Amino acid sequence: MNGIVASRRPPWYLLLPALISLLAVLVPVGYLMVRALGSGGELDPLLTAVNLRRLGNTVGLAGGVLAVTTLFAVPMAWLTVRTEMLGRRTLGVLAVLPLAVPGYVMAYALLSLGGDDGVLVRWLGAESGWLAPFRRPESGTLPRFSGYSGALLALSACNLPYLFLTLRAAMRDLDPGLEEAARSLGQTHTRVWLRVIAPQLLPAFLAGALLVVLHVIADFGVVSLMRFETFSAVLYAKYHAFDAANASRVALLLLLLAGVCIAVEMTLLVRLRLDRAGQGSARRRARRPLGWLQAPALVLFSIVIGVTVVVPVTTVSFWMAGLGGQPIWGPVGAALGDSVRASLPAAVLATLVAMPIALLRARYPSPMSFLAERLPFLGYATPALAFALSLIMLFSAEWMPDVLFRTFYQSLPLLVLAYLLHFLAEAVGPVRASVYLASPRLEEAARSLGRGPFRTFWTVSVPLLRHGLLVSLALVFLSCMKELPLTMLLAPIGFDSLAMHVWDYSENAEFARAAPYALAILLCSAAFTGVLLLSGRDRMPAEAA
Amino acid sequence: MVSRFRIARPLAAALLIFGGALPATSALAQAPSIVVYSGRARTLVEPLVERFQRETGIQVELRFGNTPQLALGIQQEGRRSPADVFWAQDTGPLQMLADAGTFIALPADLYTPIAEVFRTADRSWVATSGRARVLAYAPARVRADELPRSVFDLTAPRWRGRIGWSPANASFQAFVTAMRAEFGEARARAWLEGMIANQPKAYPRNTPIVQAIAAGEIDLGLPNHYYLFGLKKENPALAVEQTFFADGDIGNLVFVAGAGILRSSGRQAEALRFIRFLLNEESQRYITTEVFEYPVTTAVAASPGLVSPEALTRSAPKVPLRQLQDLDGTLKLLRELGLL
Repeated sequence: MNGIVASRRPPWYLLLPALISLLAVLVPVGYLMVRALGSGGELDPLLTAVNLRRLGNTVGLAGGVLAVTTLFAVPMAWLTVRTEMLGRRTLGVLAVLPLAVPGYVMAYALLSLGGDDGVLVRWLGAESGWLAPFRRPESGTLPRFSGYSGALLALSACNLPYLFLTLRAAMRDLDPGLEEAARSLGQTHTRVWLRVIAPQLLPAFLAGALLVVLHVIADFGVVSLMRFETFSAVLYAKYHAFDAANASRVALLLLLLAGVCIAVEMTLLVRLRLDRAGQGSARRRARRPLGWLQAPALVLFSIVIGVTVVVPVTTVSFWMAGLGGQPIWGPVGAALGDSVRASLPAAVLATLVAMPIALLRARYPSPMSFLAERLPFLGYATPALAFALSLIMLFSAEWMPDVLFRTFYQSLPLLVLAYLLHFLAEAVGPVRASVYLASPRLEEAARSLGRGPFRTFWTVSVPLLRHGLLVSLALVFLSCMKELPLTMLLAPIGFDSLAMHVWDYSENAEFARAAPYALAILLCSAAFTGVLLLSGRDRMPAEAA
Repeated sequence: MVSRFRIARPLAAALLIFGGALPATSALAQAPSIVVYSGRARTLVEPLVERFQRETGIQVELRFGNTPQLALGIQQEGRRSPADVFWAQDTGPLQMLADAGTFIALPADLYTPIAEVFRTADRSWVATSGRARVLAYAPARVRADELPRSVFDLTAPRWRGRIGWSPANASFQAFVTAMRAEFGEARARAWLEGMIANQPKAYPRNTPIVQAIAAGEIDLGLPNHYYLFGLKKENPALAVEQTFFADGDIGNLVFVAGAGILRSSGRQAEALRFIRFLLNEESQRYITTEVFEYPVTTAVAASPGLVSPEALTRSAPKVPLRQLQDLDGTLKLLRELGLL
């Protein structure tokens, strides 16, 4: 490992965020333990045949989504970072936009494509020959996306950006010197990829993959609309039956499943050292011109963006058409303000907390720093409803003084804290990938030249990690913008985010009213992501040698 | 020198926004005010609340959400819950909270204008609007004379693969509870098993059932009565119709949405005024025209398009609301059969 620093004790300013990471897990897991072991009602048998089938469905779906997203994310990231593909900056931002679409909106959008009253029928006409081969023989009706394939499509669409973003950030940090050295030693293209490039991308890939898998495990909105029964259905059935004890047991089981995934990721990353051992720092590499590959590349992007962005945006626009001429933008603006003033601080704080955690892990490896980096993923895997209830339990406890309760319960700082603790893993993943590829030599050089630890942190470490940090900011912001259960229970009274509006109206089949709020989420997220990602220039920090 | 990373400015901005929010959240209302946790739709609640505030001067702070999740929140908040009133969409969680002693007993005179069919078992909560189960169908694929007369007929082989239902939905669970109460555990189980053999498609809620009929995925569905009205308001050409089963059939179950006042509330008098307001004629008329649910007070006529209260009473099975309390038994049955 980085043997040079293993014996030193980590500084306090790196340890403090690690404590926050511990909180991220202790509060919800503690709550779940208390509830699971608590009294009240009989305990249901969890591992029935039906539930095992659902568990199998969850695993199958997670594997499928991971395969599909990898298949598309790797070439897309490569094309935007390493080639001279036309329009790569815009397409790169567009490819991230599905993160702004709440899962159930994506599911509604895909559902509304098919069916006798769907978009395809309206577009091509009911009698169209194109649709005839797909119609059901016995009733002549047109099927919709549903079941495993529908869930696979919807979840892949929603989660592709996780992999795309983390891979992209890592690809930007790849050291061309290593590849050139390999080629000069006679390795073929494929071997360069397998032996030099792929291992460097492994931390980023695993970070993104873990986020994707945890998302699929936790998802309920999409799979329920697509009528594909996964294990999350068991969890929500218990919560809706007002059975917190059994629901907590199911949540703990889900955490166990998530823990397995995290453990798998850990073992794959042990002993991985990727930073440059020699002098100097990585320089910028030239982009490859594409030539005739330009066309297929654009087709790839069009298909992906078409399915993942154009379909939901068009669906929401169709919903808008049902509004008539009613004035709508005033309340949307207020809701936008509410959403942003909770999401933005949470994103910034999560990134700030994630950086030291990742640095701690890379520079001062020890079982504790290892744990500090992994724990946020458990907090992320905890169902948001359980997370909210755990914070309620914490603040409503008898030993909590009234004054603290009155000031902080259902206040904006509490909501931001809840977002921070729940989504911290989304910030840690991308930063961690960048840390693997950043050399400690620059930091050491700065310290040996007399810069204090804080200055080194801000002027050397942060710019080195910049690509990963921007991704962290974007991911957490987008997640907070569309978050529901935490906001529903913990937000200040009268605080109404865009996502709450979309959920409320679509739940009651008032899609036209939901549309402006959904569009606002999309536009705001697009603007934020655009600013972040387009501002990340390819310029590398100055040579140190 | 390496240029400063451009995080300082957005960070400062974020902290300003964040810090600026702090004083705002601890501001206390000057006028009397109550807090209502509402599992009901925004479009229904907001205009009612506005009128209440205008008429009484009592401010109402609203928290919207999903009924079971709000109920779990209330349960977890305990005696320090900020909520004064809980207005629930489904009464399962409401009843469970009531059983745990969360609500105060409401005054008896509150119930006198309420129709018999909507009277609750005890006075810990009150019905605010009525809802009925119906049979929705696709007129293009099911002729009126083919329609099943009883919900028990749905297990016939001709309907294999053509039915949509929602076992996870609270209204369906209330319906199964009524069936168990009326016909006994064995008959209800037999019906459920017969239905499962007919390969119904399971949807998460009622709206997707109606949408699925329109999309041609299923031909028959078992939602609540008001969804079709709502969907047709936005899309009059929707190719779905609905009907009751034969008069008195259990499939026409009538049940309610309701509200209760929390025992932990420090503003019970104002909360009671709010509940009375929900039950007054103007509010009940608004509820029936806005969301097409049945008014619970006898003084108000149901919305045109809805059947009259007399017709409703005729078609509804004679299952008093108190018999809908054994939700636990229903959930156990549904779990045993793998539906939950």
